[in-house]
Amino acid sequence: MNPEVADAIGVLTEKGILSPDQSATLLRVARRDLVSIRFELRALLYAGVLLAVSGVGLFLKQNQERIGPVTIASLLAAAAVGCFLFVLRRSPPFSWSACGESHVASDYLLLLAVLLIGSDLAYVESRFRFLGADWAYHLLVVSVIAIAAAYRFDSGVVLSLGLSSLAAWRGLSTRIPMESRFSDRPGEIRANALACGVLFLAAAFVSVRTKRKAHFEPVFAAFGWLLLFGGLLSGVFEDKFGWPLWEIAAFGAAAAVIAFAYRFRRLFDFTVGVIAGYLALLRPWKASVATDEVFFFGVAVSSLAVVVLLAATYRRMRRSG
Amino acid sequence: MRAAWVRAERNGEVRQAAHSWREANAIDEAALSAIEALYSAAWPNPGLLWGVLLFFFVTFFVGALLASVGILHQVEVTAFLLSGGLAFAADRLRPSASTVKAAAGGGAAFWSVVCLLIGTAEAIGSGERTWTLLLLVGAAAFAAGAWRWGYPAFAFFAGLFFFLLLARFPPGRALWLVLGAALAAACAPFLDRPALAPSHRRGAAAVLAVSLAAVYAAVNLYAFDRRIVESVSSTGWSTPHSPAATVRFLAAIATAVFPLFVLGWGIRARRTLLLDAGIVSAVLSIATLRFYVHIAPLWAVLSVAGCGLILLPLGVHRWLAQSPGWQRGGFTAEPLFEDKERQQTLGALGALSLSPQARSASPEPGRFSGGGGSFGGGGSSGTF
Repeated sequence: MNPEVADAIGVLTEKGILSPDQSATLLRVARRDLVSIRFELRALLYAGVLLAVSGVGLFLKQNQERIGPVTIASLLAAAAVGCFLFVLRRSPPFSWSACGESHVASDYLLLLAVLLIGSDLAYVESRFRFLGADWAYHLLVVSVIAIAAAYRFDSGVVLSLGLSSLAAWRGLSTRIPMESRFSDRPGEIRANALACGVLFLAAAFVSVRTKRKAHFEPVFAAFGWLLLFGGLLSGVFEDKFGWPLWEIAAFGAAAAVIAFAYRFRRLFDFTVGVIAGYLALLRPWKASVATDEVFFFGVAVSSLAVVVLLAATYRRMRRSG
Repeated sequence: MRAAWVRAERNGEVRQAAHSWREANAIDEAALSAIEALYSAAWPNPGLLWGVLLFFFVTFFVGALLASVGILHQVEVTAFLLSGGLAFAADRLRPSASTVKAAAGGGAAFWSVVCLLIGTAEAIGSGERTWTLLLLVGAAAFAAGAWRWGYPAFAFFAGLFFFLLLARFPPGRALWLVLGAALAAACAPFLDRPALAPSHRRGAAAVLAVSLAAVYAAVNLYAFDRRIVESVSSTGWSTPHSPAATVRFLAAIATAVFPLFVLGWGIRARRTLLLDAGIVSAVLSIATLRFYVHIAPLWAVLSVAGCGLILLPLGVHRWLAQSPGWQRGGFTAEPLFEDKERQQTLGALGALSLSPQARSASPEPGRFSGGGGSFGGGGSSGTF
């Protein structure tokens, strides 16, 4: 029960701000006479998808010799098709704008379907080696399927999976902390990160500009900033000789993002820009001071200065609307 | 909390509810404006991003300052000074109408308690009693912070430190069981009490959650056999552990009954916190059962449990959707002016945890390796 809201509904009804019909419904929710368990259902579905995928993976590992590759691949494909059909039957028709509230299970069963397809492709590739040395291209296929499914069924979760699969194809992981399997080739991974970051940011821009799934823009932008600044900051901190150039690029990009985010009141981009810009400045500060005491003291003072600057920026944002 | 803070917080509750009604088109813009004019006291409710941004920089400030003085071996004095200074700052910033200042206040409040713990640890040196004292100071400081500033997370930490403190004493398990049950029962009436500030009610909910977790940890058979509660105390391992068969039998029964009890309580009280606690404890009890009784291979258990967890909510959703008004027993599967950020967080969490590992630079030819654990989304690395 929310006593403040329940009391307020009575007052608002007396004052005529809420009609008796409106207040009856709102009061039921405020008094907890009616409770939504949608979050719980979705959490259970998500846990179910995780467990089912883990079980399937283990099953494949332990039984692949006994059952045979064709049967396993067929079973996985059938399960994926089943999930797709469920989602297809319960989804609204395709639209370039955001679809309304979908079935509670749609997102997660679509996710399960794409994950099963990914498992199937990985299994088939590991058994038959159709792609040979280019085996990693199966990730590109998974990515294309996931992105297509995300667009058809309007799922931001599946779009995230598609983008992270695309990044994985280029040897990048979008998990935090950002990791790479090409640690012996930092230049290549950095270039891939920057290219993927720019590609995703371009997709974000096009989405908004063309009004085609414009609500996917935050997903594209989040992955884009993560990879772009991940690549630039890895240059700042890991490139022993060329770090000043990376420094200029990273700080320049952060400053541009902060200005853009401030202009258009985009809080996520602003947050990313401020953190990335601050981290980028730590390297030249470290290089310019003689002792660790001074370095840490400088970090402490500058952090406090950033907090004060943020408060001032927020005040200006509020004033200028 | 000051009376003015409580009044502003109560107004903030109504304004927040009004915004969710507007988002769901339950009221129009004119009604929203009228409500905001009527409940005008502003109470800062910093969003997740401002909170993260400010916490990041406050953490950098505190960490760097401590590292700086740590090199000069003056941690103790600095930590106490910082603790006092940050607590003062938090007290000033907490009611600020500025989102940024309020978010900075949260970070300052948290680090004031951590600095107090660091200073205390430095002052009393190492030893067995240090941990006991630190837990005592932590529980008291977080509880005081929760009462003064109203952060529910502080109430959660206070409860956590309190139960860890209890575990330091010989009958730790019994204390968890008895005091956990008592605290849970004591917190329940406070969840709806109008006299309490909204943040204090949320704090009571946090303590209730910790208390239920403590009770479950005390009765769970696996935790009992592994002596998880006793392991918090260094002396716990030195005492012989030869439990009577009756006690183990009772623990097994309690492991099965506890989730049912909490779920029943949640359904009866229509409280999602209890439902969530019941679901989590049910999953843990099933995992405990699987640990002791090998009913099937692991892959089968995972697959069946996964399918069950998918089918159960589908069935519940269908059952609720078929009833008049899409509701039954006061429950519905429809969104009711719910917190969209909460739903989006779950989606983002799902996407993040399922994001694939990067492809390996040197693939293992012709080999498929499955298995439990991390799924390389889309089969990226061939590990599941």
